[in-house]
Amino acid sequence: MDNCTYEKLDISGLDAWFGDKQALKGVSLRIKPKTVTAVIGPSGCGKSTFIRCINRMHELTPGNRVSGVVLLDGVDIYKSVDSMDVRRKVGMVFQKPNPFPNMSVSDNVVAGLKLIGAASKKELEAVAEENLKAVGLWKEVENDLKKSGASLSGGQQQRLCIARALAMRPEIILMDEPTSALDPASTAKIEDLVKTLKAETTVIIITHNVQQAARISDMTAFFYLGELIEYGETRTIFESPKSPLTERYITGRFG
Amino acid sequence: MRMVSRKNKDRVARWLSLAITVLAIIPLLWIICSVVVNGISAINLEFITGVPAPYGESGGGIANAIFGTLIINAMASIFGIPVGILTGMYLSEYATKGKFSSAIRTSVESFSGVPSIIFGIFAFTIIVTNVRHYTALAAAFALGIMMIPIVAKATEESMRVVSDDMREAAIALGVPKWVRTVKIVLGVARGGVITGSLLAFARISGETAPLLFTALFSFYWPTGIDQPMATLQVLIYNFALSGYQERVLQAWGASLLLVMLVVAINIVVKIVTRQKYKEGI
Amino acid sequence: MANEMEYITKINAEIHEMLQIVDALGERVQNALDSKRRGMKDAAYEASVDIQHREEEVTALCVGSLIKYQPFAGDLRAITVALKVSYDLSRICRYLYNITEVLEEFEVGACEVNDVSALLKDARSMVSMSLTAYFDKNRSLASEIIERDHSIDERYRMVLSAQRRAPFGSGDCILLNGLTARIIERMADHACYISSETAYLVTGRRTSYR
Repeated sequence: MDNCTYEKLDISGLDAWFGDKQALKGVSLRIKPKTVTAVIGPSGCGKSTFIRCINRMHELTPGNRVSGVVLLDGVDIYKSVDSMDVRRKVGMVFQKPNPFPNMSVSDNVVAGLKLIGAASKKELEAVAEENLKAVGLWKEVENDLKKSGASLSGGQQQRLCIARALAMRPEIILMDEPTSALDPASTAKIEDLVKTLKAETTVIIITHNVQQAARISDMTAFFYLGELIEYGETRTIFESPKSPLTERYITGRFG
Repeated sequence: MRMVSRKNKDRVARWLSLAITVLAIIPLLWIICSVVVNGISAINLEFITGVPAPYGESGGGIANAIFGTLIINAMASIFGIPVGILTGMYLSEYATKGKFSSAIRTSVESFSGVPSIIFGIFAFTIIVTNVRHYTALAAAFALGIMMIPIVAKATEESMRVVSDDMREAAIALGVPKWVRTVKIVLGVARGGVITGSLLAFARISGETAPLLFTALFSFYWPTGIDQPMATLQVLIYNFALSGYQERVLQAWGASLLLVMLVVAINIVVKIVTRQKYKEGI
Repeated sequence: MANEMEYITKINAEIHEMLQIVDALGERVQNALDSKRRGMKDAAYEASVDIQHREEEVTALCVGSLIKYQPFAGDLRAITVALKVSYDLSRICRYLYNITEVLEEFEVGACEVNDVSALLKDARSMVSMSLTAYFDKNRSLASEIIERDHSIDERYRMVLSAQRRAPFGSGDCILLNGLTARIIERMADHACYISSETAYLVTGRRTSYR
């Protein structure tokens, strides 16, 4: 693989079902490394299903099915990799901050490594500090490392969850509307953080806020009724989208 | 006019419900008061540290019964609580809609309604009749089984209310299911599990019927867990029916200790629960 | 686009009023030029000041809408284009005023003005058409106007060379024709700018013209 054609993620013909209901229809797209891709679209358009296919969480519910090819660094995550390993390589941050309330702030950061027993105690401390610094939380919680993760504010909790995902050194971080439960100041912090994250990793973020997508992403994918309607550079999509559907959605003329 | 009559109705309803509540509480207070009033005079140093005096002699204590109750309860807990937690964990995290799962769920639910004497007879049949003598182990077995449905139900319910967000967070970190279940879901639910276990402990502390068939009684210090053993419950039963004034008084004293044990456990439960809500789970 | 946003309707109404003022002024300047009459300067100046105020108002409306609605796609283009169209209109108005200045400046009573008069007529019609194309989002009309710019340029150069070769013309007449032709050529350029903005508004792609 030479550098110009190198793709972090290469998805082709991705279909997904909830039982009999098809939630994704032949989605194909390629994502370059160290970019931020925003996934937008009306509720129920398959955005969440799409990113849950990338870390193999869609298949967890009985009756759900996935077909198609998802190549992570050229390797088919549905054929050649164990689903647990996929999830360690593809981190996820959820809509509602979900730190483990039975763990301290620092334990939350290293929860993944600790629970799979991947590091020594000394290493874990270093990893916790490094990742709390990476999400800009270190200064705020330096003296509260032993407090419960649930004692932090909503915005801090979400950054803690991002630190927890980062601690696994993932190739890709998926974010499912990470700021929809947060106030504007916390949202701004997370947005800044997302922009810095791409120096190290590749980010795919779902957002309902089209302005947010425009602010933080390099590429934008618009989904509608389970199909990828348009995918391209964010500036192009927001200045002059090709599809009238995209245009109607981003200008607020939907529904 | 209508407003006034509505207000009056409201007032009547309030007084009526208050009166009925008081009526319901009276017997409860009566019991507690008579236990305290009658029991307090029996309690002294010898009562708490000595073994029962031979028939006809005065004095003596119930220390062997206190000790016995604690031993049997401890053994029952060592057996009943882990099994109960595992059962609850299974019901909450692994059970499907299949026949096996529903059989387990049904038996756990109906077990908690079975009269305690049945557990006593069961332990009697499979242990006492085989070893041919009364034994504390059989008592612990019977009480342990009684704890299982209580602990299992409490565990299941408190694990069930753990938000799926927690499970998803752990899944997304690539943590295997059993680690997730034990370290995350059970960890988050631990307050409810502790509460359930304490309540189960309090429940078996009041049971007498299963003990009559199993540990029976002893006037001496316990000599081994496979031997008959004195317990507060059976001591109260024996002494209260003995006809000797002093023994009856000692039965009151033992009752007071038992009530205090149960009340103490309930207070601990209250504290544990309050802490759980403080953590904001 | 299915339905136009209210703020864009409002901005366009303002631009439409600007156009009406420019059109009316254009007609009066045309008459003044045709009859080589003086005394238009003050009225033209007032009109151009009025237009400038209106342009500022359009700018304020556009900025306000950007802040309030953070528009995207067609809506975003509508606003950026409206900003430029209003600016172009104010420039055109300024040029009309410049023509009245030229008329005031020189002794033009005996001059031959047929060529520049026809040039002005053409440029004015280009301005009206470019605004029609803008309001109707008519891309083909917009590109037609851009095509016409070449002929205006050509005729502008013809006027210049005719003046250079005119043996008996007075200096005033040469200056009148030369300056007016130059001003009109610039007016036509702005009509083309408006048209190229219209093309961008409709297609989302910029064909660099400006």
